[in-house]
Amino acid sequence: MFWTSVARARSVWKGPNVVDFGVNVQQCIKGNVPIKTAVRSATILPRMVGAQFMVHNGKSYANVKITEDMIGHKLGEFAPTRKAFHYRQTKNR
Amino acid sequence: MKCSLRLFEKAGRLSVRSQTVQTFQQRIVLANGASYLVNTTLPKPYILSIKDITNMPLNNPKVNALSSIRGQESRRSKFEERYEGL
Repeated sequence: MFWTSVARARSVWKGPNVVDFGVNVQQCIKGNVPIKTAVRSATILPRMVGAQFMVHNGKSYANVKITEDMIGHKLGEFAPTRKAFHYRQTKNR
Repeated sequence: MKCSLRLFEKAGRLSVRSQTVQTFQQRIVLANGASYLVNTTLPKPYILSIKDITNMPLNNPKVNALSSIRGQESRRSKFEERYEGL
């Protein structure tokens, strides 16, 4: 898991990962239509600010509202894939 | 009686402590060339200060360091500066 994230990290010289989501992002912003996508590695560009995304987290789609402070980050950073674990008491003890 | 007399005699020979501390005159030179005299216990004739109230940015709000545009960059402007055209 950690080896993969290190070995497959995107190099800086490649530039941002510009992804075509298949729809016109500007029209979705105006119409307030959510964009459904499973491309978690897409870089958030300035023209995406204000859009509503539904990012796949492996099981379901998380709603992500793009703001100014998210420019440069990846879409997957705002859709967590893991849930916090906590112990539960069982009767079988 | 003898004991108390001796203690009294010994106490009489103790040195008398001075009531005031000796002070020296010291000249403090500011960064812009101004200077002033103070009476201090430090026996140093003069002190040169490099950073003081005359050139600290906090005390001089009109200094260029605070009014530069670079200090007010946002995340968006940095991204657009790095990747033009996207």
